[in-house]
Amino acid sequence: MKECEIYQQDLADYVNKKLSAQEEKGLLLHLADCLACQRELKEIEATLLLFQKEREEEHSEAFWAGFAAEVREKIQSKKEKVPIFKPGWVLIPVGILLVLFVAASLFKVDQRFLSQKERQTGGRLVWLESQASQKSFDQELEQSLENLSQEVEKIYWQDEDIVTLLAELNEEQFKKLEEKVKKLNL
Amino acid sequence: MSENDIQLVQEFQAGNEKAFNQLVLKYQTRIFNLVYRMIRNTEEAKDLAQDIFVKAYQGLKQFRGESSFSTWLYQIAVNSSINYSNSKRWKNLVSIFEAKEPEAAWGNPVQDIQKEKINQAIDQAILSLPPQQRSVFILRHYEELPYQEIARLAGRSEGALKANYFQAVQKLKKKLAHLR
Repeated sequence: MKECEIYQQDLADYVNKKLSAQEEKGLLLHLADCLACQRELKEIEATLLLFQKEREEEHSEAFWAGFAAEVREKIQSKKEKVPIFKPGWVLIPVGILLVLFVAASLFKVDQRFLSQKERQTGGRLVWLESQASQKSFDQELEQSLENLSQEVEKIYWQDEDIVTLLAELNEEQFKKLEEKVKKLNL
Repeated sequence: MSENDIQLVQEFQAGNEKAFNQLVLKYQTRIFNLVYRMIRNTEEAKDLAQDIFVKAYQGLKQFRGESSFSTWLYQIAVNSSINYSNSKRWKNLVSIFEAKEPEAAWGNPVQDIQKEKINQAIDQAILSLPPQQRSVFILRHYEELPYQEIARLAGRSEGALKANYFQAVQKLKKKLAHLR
């Protein structure tokens, strides 16, 4: 911070005679040599002088007579204040219950749908909680994954071009394939 | 804390409600003036000053006397005034207030209008300060509190408050330049 800025912070306190003797002495020494701070002091003096012209808020005895009594009334009314009914107090729990009810209903529907699916032929879905043990669940899972990979493989080979497939075979594989085709007697 | 204040606080804490009334009577003018200087509206200031005493009443049972009662009460008043100044309700009031034209009074109309103009300009200039800066200016300029006391009230360093006061004076100087 520049020297002037430090002294300028004290100017208002100097005008209001709030500086200690030591602070005032330092400021006056600086002011004697600094034109910028002298100008600043004049402006601050003129500004703070306006505050002396400001109105004084004076109130009648009646204004103050009722003051303490009104404070007492406010304290009393706070003490006696009955908790006002707020719709939120009922609506929030009702809302939570409603959400839980809807979630439970959807869960039931889903469970019924899954058990129907389980009974259908050609597909088998596993309902995790109905499994007796972790072992049988693992077996089911393994079987399902194997079925799935077979299905994927089947789809893959169906879509693959025969020329591309033959090109990928080495000589030995090609001969084996050739023998198998001959045995088919097409 | 003055002996009288300690005694009144202890009496209140022991269950004497009248002791609180005496504290209200003792401090009502100072608290009202502080609040009025912050918000610049008589009716609102009266209402807020009363609310400050209600808050003091509610907290006085837990008051342990770590600071003086007056410092503690001033702290409530300053915080309440800052919060009030920040509130939306207050912002609306300011806009109405700013639109008001100076009114001539009985007596010397020219001088009265001039005085009213100065008052309004000062009100507007002070209201234009950010609430926290405004509180520092009011505590220092009007209440004439030392920085040490303001630092205790505001929970800030003396250096920061001094800088804050300087900034407030600079802003007021600019806002009131046309009246100098």
